[in-house]
Amino acid sequence: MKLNVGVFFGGVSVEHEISVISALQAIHALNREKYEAIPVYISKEGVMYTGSELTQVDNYKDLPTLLNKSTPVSIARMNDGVYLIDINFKRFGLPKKTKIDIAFPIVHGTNCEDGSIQGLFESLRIPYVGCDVLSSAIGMDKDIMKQVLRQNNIPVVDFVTITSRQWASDSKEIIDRVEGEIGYPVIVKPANLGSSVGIKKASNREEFIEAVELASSFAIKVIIERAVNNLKEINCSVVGDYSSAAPSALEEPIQSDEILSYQDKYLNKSGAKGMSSQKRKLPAELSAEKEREIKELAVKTFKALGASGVSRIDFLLDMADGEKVYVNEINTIPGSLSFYLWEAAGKPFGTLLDELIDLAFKRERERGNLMFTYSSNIFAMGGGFSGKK
Amino acid sequence: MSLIYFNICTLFFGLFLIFSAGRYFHMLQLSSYKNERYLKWCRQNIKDEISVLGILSLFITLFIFLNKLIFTIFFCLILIFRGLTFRKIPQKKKFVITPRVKRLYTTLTLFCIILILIINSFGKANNPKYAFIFFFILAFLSNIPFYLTSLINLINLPIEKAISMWYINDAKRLLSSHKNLITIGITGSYGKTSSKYILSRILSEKYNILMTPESYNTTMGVVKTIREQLNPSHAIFIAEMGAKKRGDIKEICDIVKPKFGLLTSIGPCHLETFKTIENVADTKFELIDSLPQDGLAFLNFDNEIIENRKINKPFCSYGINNNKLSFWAENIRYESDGVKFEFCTSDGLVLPLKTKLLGLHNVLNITGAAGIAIMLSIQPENIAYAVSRLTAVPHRLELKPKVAGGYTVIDDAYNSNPAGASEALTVLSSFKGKKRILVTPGMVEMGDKEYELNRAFGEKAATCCDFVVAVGKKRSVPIVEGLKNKGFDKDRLWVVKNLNEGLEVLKKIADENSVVLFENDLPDNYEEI
Repeated sequence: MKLNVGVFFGGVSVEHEISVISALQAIHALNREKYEAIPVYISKEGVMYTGSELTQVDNYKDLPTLLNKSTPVSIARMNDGVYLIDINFKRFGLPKKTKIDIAFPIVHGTNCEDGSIQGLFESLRIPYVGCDVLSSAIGMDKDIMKQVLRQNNIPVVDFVTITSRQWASDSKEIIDRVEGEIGYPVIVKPANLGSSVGIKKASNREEFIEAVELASSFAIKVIIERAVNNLKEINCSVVGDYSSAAPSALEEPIQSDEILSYQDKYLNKSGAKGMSSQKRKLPAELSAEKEREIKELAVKTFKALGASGVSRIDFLLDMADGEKVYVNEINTIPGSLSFYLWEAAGKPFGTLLDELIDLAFKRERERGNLMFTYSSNIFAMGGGFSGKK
Repeated sequence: MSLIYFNICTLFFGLFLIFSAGRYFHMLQLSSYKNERYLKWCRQNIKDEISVLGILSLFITLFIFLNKLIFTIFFCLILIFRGLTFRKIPQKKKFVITPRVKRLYTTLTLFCIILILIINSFGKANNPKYAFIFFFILAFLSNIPFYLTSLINLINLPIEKAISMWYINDAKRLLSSHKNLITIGITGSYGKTSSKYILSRILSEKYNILMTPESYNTTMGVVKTIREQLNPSHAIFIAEMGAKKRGDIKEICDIVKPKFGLLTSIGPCHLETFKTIENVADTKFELIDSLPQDGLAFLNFDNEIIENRKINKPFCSYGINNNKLSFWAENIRYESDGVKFEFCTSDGLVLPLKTKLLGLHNVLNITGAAGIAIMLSIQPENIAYAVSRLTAVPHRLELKPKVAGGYTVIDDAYNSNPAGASEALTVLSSFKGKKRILVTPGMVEMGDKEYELNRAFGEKAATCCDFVVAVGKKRSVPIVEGLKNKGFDKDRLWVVKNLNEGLEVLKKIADENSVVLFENDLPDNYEEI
């Protein structure tokens, strides 16, 4: 008797490939005695597929063949649970279906990590791992996330948010404002993308215009931040939920470009190993005091955003300003699920996954204790009588 | 030629039997498929169930050889008429067509077909006398279809046993494949369902729990829960164990092998089958006896029978205002928003708790459950949170959400027992300054003492309520006597035929300032028409 864990990955997102790698790592680390991993690959067209072929990374080199061998499915709630249903309808007989007891989304970026897929799971009423709709959505929007953090007295770098329409109509005013309020150098980012796609540093007006043009081709909302010149990046993962959460070991990713580029982050020579193979100092070299401060801030950020499961919080340390710590962003579904940060803290990947699944069930239990519907049917009660049964 | 008439008549008989069987299968279902209980219902209702027309038709059968055509037509018309006018009694608990019911229908159909075949074979062998005898038997059976139902049930019994055995073995297999599962058994004459819900809520602060739903507490209920719901995410299985006779609890324990056992109480419940309180105690203690030596029993020491029993397993005791126990509740206060008290342990923990659940017995239930939670290393602050979030079990002293303009309803409709009923009255009386109304048919299945217990219940009600609506004219006699003994004002007492009439009375007397306690509900087999 095993628990069927539907691992959802891929997706209509620029971080599609990274998600595949993260998910396959998790599938192979799941405790086989307890769980039956059911891969659910979401193609770039948004079609869901399942099948054992999908668990081997090499098969993805020839995607058309892989998809041919796999089964396109739809997810649906039936009376006794949630099922993946074969959508290649046969002329005779019932379609094949596979029950899933819990959903484990390992997707990155828009259309997935931003609360969309979590919303699907909510509607289906299936327990799922990780952040809920709201915290996923907040975590994906850098503008809203920073506003929430600032409201909770968590330090964030100064920023200005614009829309591509504002930029098109009045770039002059925006340039004046940025130069007045922040001053070069700045970093320009699409507000709602994960990873480092579309992010550029600008040291003067020309570079700034170029950077905004690039960022606004990825998102309608663009965020402009003060660039911290002499910086150290520190990442910390947090596991838990709103009631209790714990920080992992700290890492310092090594950058080869001025900011951690997409290439650096995921496409290094080592090939398809994802975030876990990136160059880094682990544990990061920090004073004990700084380390404690960052870990505390990480947990505070995690709770302020209402996160759940595993997240990775990225910090900036301003080395020119006495190592002042800023929260840069939260990744609500971090690459490789940050397992390397937990292994460094003495927690094997399998155990981490166990904990994440337990947290999902805990949330489900807590929700089960709330009242969503009255068991009696109001239509059947008639007459407004409020009596027995 | 006569064979055709016989066949037409038998066919109609068969159809009539199958048609009328639904009602009796339903009664059988309400009697948990126990022939003994079902036949008791038959005996009590035989007058209503036998139809004059049926006896008439039986009489006519004797003259069938006079004119076969006329009698056959006459006969079939009577059957059709009986079928069409078949008395339908509204039931609160609907008839469910389970696989078991389908098997009963199959056997009944086969039975009818065999009878028809027998009649035919005698007819063909030119032995109309025997054919007639069988025909007469069938006609006779159509007059007592309720007994035929119990015969069919008897025929199916070995099949049902085999099917149950298979289910039981399947449940055992599932449990044995789940290595780390901890099973907690709960039994007791009363308080077990409430305790189950409370314990499950508290333990869910840390663990994924599977519990037997609602008041599923029979072997097959437990087995069904395991087979349909157990999955590897579950860390703890809470099994409620009910008993109607000796060995019932042991049977469940042999399947689920509990590591912890919670014994909530021993009292005069189901005395009709148990006869003596000693039998009840022995049966409930089957749970404790089945615990392993590294298991742990949790015993309600406020119950004298439990306290005085020799216990041969490691155990923790719990109770109220008794600091010699492992766990106890003290300093209990009733406040407008619920009950507050301190949960204390012999290790010196003093944990203030607050609950919306009404009644002293719930304080006791919470104390027992919190004790188990402590032993399963749940943090005290999490216990306190869980207890503050507890909501009443449906129909167990459940304070219903108030509808604007309506009266307050305390629903205590399930399975009344003397201690529970008395506590419910205490709770009702604590609503001072309100119009306190009791609606009840009294307690059932209390054995020899039923009359006496109901009279005592009536006597207590006289001091606790402003109005009483007694349901069932015959049934409520002892309650009315109890009320009168204590000088309860006759103008404040209504005796009605059934619950629906009771509700009509409420429309007249209950207003926004009223609290209505629905105490006990009756199985359909007891309703007076």
